[in-house]
Amino acid sequence: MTLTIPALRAATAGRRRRRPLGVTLAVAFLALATVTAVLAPVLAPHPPDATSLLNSLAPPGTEGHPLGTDSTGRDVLSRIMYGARLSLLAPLGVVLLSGLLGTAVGLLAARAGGWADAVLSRGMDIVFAFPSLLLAMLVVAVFGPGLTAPICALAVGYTPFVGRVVRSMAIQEGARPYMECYRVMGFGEWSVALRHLLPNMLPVLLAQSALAFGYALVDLAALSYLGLGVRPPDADWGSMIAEARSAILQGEPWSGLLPGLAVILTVVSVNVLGEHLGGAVSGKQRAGT
Amino acid sequence: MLMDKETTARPDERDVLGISRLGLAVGSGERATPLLAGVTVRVGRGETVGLVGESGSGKSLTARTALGMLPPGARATGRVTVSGVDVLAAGRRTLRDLRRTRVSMIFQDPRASINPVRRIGDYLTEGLRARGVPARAAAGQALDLLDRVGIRDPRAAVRRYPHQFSGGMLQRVVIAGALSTEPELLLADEPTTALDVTTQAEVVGLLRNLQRDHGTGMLFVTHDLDLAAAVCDRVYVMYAGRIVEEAPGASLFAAPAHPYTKALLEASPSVHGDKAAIKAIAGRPRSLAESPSGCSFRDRCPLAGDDCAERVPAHRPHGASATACLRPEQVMP
Repeated sequence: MTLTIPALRAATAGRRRRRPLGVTLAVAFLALATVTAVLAPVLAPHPPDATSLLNSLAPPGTEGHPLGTDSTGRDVLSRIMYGARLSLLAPLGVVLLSGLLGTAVGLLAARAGGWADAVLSRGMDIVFAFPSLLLAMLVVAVFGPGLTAPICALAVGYTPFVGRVVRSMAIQEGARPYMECYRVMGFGEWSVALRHLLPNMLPVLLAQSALAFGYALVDLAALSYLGLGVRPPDADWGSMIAEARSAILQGEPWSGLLPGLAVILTVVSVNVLGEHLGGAVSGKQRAGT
Repeated sequence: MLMDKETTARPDERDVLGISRLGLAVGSGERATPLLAGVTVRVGRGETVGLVGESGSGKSLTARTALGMLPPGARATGRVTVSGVDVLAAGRRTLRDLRRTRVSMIFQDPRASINPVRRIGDYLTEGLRARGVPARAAAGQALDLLDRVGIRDPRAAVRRYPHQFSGGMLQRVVIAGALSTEPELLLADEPTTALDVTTQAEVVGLLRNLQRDHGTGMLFVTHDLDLAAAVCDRVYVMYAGRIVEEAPGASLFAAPAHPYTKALLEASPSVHGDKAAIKAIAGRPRSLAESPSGCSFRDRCPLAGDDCAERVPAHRPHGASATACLRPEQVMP
């Protein structure tokens, strides 16, 4: 605590004023994507699966189809909007599940210590070394296509991302004197961990989750592209790219490029936001010590 | 063994803290490292007892065993009772109840002992809620406690965060938290070391007043001999994991009965009388594991003779003190 309180306040205020343009843009894009996903039935100009073979592969800017149509004449804009629902919801499921699992495993490893820590940590290393996409493909091969199985598989695959961070933070925070004080006050290990340790780790967890969201979105898009995720006629961005393969070969790349752009923009936005959150947390810690 | 002839008062079931012949070691077999040996400390109801010694002498370790908090992998021998409850033999549930209701501890740095991201009100009510006090009543008690420890405008204070308080004010909050359970025993581990001198006096005064009002027994751990002598009814002096002298607070200055106590007194500067050179103690403080055979202090002691190496000296009465020295009569104040 070398900084006085007014100095600290000035420092944080300064940081707030200097929020980078990129972060603002990222937040704006993510907000836009979320709103269009939620309000797709209201906002979309056409039903996502209304085909019109006479009007297939229309380029962007065509009247009534601002982003054109795909090879069966479905409106690309509408499909991107509807596709956003699955493309955003599924990674969210992965992040939530892996966050829950990772936090539980990480906390358990840190608090139990000894051989339990060794077993859990090595277990996480093994999962970490195993490509999560391959794991998801195996699960799909066993349980058949659909989104539930790959979501669960990816959640398991991403558990070490969260678990390792939670473990190291729990060990680091748990060694702080105040944790001991709560123990001295007669609180059990677990109630201290849940009531004090976990809330103090929340900012880092949030940053980590944002990064995991980006990875999950790409992995799920890849699965859909391979035909292992969403089943037609449902749309997500990955399956839209897959369906556009032949159109791309015919020199009409729009129906594939646009959902690809949506994937790229979302992942970049989420990563920028995650970096910013992580940076803010470590910056705050530096100022606090 | 000679140590058995305890001249200190026998541990009594009515004492709030009775530590008798406590030994502590980590590791086992050949590689065992002893930390404490034959430590006997008692704190009566409403009594203030000082535990004084250099860093690493085992003061904090002794205080923490009263809570059943041993270093990882440590084995304890002897007996530790808090209000009649055998701490070393107690299970987790008993220990938890003990910590929630009968014993509280105050640490050196108040800033490190409160979760920095929680409000003061949460900190104070948490302990009460754990004992089953309803939320509304706990909030009321928190205001009351803050008022008692002399925090102005408790209503605003409960909504503040730890960083918004000065060190002295925050230590008052910690004290309020420690007293919220109306403990029978308060363990104060260097509660004023991190505070500046004027704040120190206020905090010590506050502790004394609250303790008198509640009849709480207090074990005051410090390396400040002057403070201990001024505050405590009795003072234990520790060196290298052993108690070397027990004396009433008042007579410690006038008639130290152990060369180590005397050396400590000479090593602290005085604002009274003529300017005198501060005499440092030759050598460096030893831990129990590396201390010589017999009296641990003999390699630094000006009075040491060959007989000091034979065995650990037993506590014997000398004047008002009980001292673990073979020739206390040669220790001149």
